Amino acid sequence: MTATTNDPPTRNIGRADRRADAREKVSGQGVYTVDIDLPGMLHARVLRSPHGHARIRAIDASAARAMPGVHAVLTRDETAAIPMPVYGYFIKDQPIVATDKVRYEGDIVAAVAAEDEGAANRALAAIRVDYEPLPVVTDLESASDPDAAELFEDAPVGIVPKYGAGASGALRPRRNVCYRFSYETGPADAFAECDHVFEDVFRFSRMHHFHLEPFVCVADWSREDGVALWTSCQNPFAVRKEIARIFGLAENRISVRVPYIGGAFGSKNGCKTEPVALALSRLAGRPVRFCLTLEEGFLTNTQHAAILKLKTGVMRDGTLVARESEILLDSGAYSDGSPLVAEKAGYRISGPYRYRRIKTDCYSVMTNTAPAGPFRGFGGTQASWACESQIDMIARRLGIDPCEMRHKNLIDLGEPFVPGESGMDSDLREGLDLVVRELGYRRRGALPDDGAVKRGMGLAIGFKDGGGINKPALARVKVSTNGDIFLQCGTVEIGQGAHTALSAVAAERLGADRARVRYMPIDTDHSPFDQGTNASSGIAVMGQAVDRAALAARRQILEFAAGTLGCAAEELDLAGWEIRRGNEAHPLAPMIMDRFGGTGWEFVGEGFHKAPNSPAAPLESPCVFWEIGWGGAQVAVDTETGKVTVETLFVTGDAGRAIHPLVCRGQDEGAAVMGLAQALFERMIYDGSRLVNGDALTYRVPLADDLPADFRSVTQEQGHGPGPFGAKGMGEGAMLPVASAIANAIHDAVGIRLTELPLTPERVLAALAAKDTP
Amino acid sequence: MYAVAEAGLIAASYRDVPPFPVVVPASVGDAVAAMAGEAAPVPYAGGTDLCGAVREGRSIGTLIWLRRLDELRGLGIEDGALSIGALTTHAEGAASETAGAVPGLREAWSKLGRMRIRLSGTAGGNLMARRTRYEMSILLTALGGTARFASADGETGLTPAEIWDRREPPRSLLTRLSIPLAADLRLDYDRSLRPMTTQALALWRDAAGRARGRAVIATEYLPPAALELDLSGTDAKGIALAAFAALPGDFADPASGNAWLRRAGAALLARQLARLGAARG
Amino acid sequence: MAERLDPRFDLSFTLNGAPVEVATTTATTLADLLRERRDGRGTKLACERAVCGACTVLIDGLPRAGCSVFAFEVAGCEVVTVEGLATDGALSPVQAAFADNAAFQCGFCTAGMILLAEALLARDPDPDEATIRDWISSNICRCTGYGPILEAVGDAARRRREAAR
Repeated sequence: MTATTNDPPTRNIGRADRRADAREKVSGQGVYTVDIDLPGMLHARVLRSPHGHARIRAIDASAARAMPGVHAVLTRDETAAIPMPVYGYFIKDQPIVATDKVRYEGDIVAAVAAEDEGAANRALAAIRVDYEPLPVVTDLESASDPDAAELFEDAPVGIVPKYGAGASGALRPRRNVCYRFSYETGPADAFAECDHVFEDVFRFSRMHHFHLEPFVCVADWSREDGVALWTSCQNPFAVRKEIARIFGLAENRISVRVPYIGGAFGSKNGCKTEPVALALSRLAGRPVRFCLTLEEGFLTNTQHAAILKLKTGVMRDGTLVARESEILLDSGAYSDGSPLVAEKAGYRISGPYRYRRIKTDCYSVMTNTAPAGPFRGFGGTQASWACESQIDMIARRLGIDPCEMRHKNLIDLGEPFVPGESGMDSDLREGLDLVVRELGYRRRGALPDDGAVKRGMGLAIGFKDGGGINKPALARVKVSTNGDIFLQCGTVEIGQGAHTALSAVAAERLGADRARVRYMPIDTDHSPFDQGTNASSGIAVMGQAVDRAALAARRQILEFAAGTLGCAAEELDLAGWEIRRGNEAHPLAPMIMDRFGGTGWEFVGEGFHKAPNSPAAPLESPCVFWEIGWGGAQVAVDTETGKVTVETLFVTGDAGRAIHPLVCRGQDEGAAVMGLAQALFERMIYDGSRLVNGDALTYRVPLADDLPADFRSVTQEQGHGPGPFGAKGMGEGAMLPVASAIANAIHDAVGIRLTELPLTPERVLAALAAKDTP
Repeated sequence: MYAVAEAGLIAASYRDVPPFPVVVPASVGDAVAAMAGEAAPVPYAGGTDLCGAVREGRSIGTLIWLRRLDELRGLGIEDGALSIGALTTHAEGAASETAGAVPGLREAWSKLGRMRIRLSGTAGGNLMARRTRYEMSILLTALGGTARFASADGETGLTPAEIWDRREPPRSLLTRLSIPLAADLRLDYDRSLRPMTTQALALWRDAAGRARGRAVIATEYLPPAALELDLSGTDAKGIALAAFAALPGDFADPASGNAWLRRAGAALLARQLARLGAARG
Repeated sequence: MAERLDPRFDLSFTLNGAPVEVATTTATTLADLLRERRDGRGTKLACERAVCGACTVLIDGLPRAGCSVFAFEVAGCEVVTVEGLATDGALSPVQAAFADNAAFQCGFCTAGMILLAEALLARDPDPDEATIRDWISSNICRCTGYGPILEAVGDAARRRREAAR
């Protein structure tokens, strides 16, 4: 798809050239946290709870301390000396190592730093722990019953952010619920005027991020004057703040460095390996590397399973009027990012449609399972699954084509999502029409059946607010005497292409080729502040900061040249590190050395971006941009086995302006395949509090041969984005519509409605049997 | 990950394993002697599995590296049976013309593992890993084959079910798989419902010339269950339903329920019977 | 006669065309041995049980997961890692095709994918799409959705054929 804008040709924007990290990554030269190796570095391993829920009567680690090669042992006895040995986002409930209780199978009980991993594990095996097993909580709906076991008898420290119009939050609103987010707008009696009210319940499965680079850090607290930390982490400044609080350190004594990250998909926000490694490093006086196995990753962070109850009021012509919802998110044993995910799942549950009345309650329910946290889509995946399924169901109940029903109710371009919010920055109908065309949706009635195999098509529109909440970003652009550009900002390269896209923006503003830009290594000591690499915010939030920084540097350069040339800066242009004035070209390097001496100079521009705070906006500030993923699927359903084959999957996002087309495609297709796997087979299977498939062999992620025979994506460039050159964020949108598009296609094919993920053959066959049984 | 005492779970790896002696036998006799005489011997071939086993707590006393035992590689026909050397890789097996003695076997074998694994992973390793996800056991069960173990006390043949029960003689070495070439023996292997379940069907004629058949179903989490078929009828669905009526009621796992495994399994079996021309679909 | 290898021994093999002699132990994996070298960290470890293929290296041309190969197994063998593919700083056709097609994102699976593709193209210089898909299904990429990788392998095959002309 070509740009809809009439932008002039550019040096860098929209070019499908090699990514900035291509050479390093295809030649094995890229440095990741797993590659960091310090002199004298020790290796950490941990002992994890074998119980889903238990009180710890006693821990005896004396034998471990005496073992050869062991330099530090960390149990609750040691963490008692740490100022605040708990962590979490809104709620500080996760201990560095277990204190009074363990709350899930895999909870960390003790840690050892030793000369090598083998020595550490041998020491762990010598630790004796006396557990008193307690009843487990694993069911979302009964977790708040009065007789349910309680994960936290005492309230951990927590906060509720200052929400705006219609939104509110509450800590511990009921038993085993750590947080509730609520939102309400419009007249409470709106359901009374509806022709129909439909109530449906949806269940959402749980995946693990399965990032290939494990959770890993190297912590060096061997010196008294400060700590150095290399970590595979999405938000180094947030982690710095947590570490300062936990250990009582000044933030200017903590250096957090983030090399390339080998995948995260949300999991590497906030503290994971860092507190254990730092505590051990301090005890041992040596640097400590703590690298989890992939199996331990399953026990560290996951997506949220969910139950979503929707009540939707509608007129008989299909006009949506009112939506009430109750959402239960399985947050696992510690809150991690759950309150934020609750906020987002709750906020996004009305989807990209116009309602007069919305009321939402979303609960973070604690269970004795691995902690859940941020996962690509961030509550939007859960919300889109329920929302886009129910729209289809309602359309069919009313005898309206599901596509027409969507058309009728979609928010218009520029229309606020809810009162106080920013306007919709994609033409939602344009994207939907594209899917209809690409899929051949109008011809679906003519799809051939093949014996027991029936075919159908479905559509969905995934929706989320993008760019994070109240998110500040700062960038610095330095240009040296020779025109070499240093880009400093805190957006980490996690595979999404941030180095490429942000460097392209800086280069474009400075009239340079992208190859002149070096994206500087991230170190919280030197990198400008950033809230974190998440919420698809790279180009839409940091991109604006980088754009402003580059323009500030450009202005300085032009003003310097104007002073030298004795003219107004407005007469000058900058290209190829020359000042252009009409037909004249003035090389900058000699001009700079004339003024500043032979060592030359650096021009430094800074740029800041943050959405303005607004009490009228429900979530502190208006949404930066709206991330939309349109999807369509054609399925073949085997009515004898229940097997669903996705024959065609088409997804499309709106990049606003595709700064780098290959990067945009990669984000959409990677997200779509994750959604496809969740729709069909990928899931964490729990048997009570025990994870059944927490390893690479039994936990199935999609392989190349899981791709549909016809799998396509299109990057729209509608041109309405707030980012540089009209760009919008990418990365999560195309995951959101996939599961519901497939469920809708199954309905189209065989007339059954599946409301639980994944869409297994077993569920298909059970629904077919139920349909045939009057 | 595995449990240490009652204290908890640890994440193990090869880095936990103290260095061990490696024996490289030059013959099967050498290998059997090493199995008999070395401390805690662990036979080792393609290497795709031991790593996982160690992570689950397996220790290594002496590694018996079988790589030089070319006599355990490849396929042959001996005494009316297809003999498959334990060290035959999946890629070799799927490409073997000899394997064509059982129609359908090569095609089925070509589905085991992914290319990287197929090039190194062996028939014997697949069987001896005793992982429910692995599939050689399913094929061997369907084909009525046995696994031959050599030990200082001689050779023993075990059915796949006996291998699941760990009935092999102590300190024995799997040398080959043996599939009796019954008349008109042929195989169909259906993986369309993977990862939940896969299903093999073998058909043959017994000494009296009667049509015989066996279906084998396995899941990600359950070892294979064999169902003997009554092929006296001609209606594939009828045969399949009758066979699956014998599936134990507790044949179910955390990912798949018994009722669905029966229904879907019977539907697949009817198709498999039709594909092999044993009955009308 | 059976040979016997002591727990600690001296290993000789060829790494990316150059001879290597190193004292190691029988329990050391090839991946760990490589990663201890300054020029060996391109081999990445992820699942460490031969499933994901991030650590794929070529041993006498055979793609194997370095996490599950003991170092002693490569005695006398030719081992090729991602560091050994470029010639005088020029990327191999497979590397160049991965770079030009953006057939990577986080990059953690990339070395393994590239070596897998090298192994395929060494066996089959003109693989059809199904063969490419079959081979690439050996390894896990969590980022790309695979499309660009499949295209890059096809592109690499064309580049290799053109270079051989």
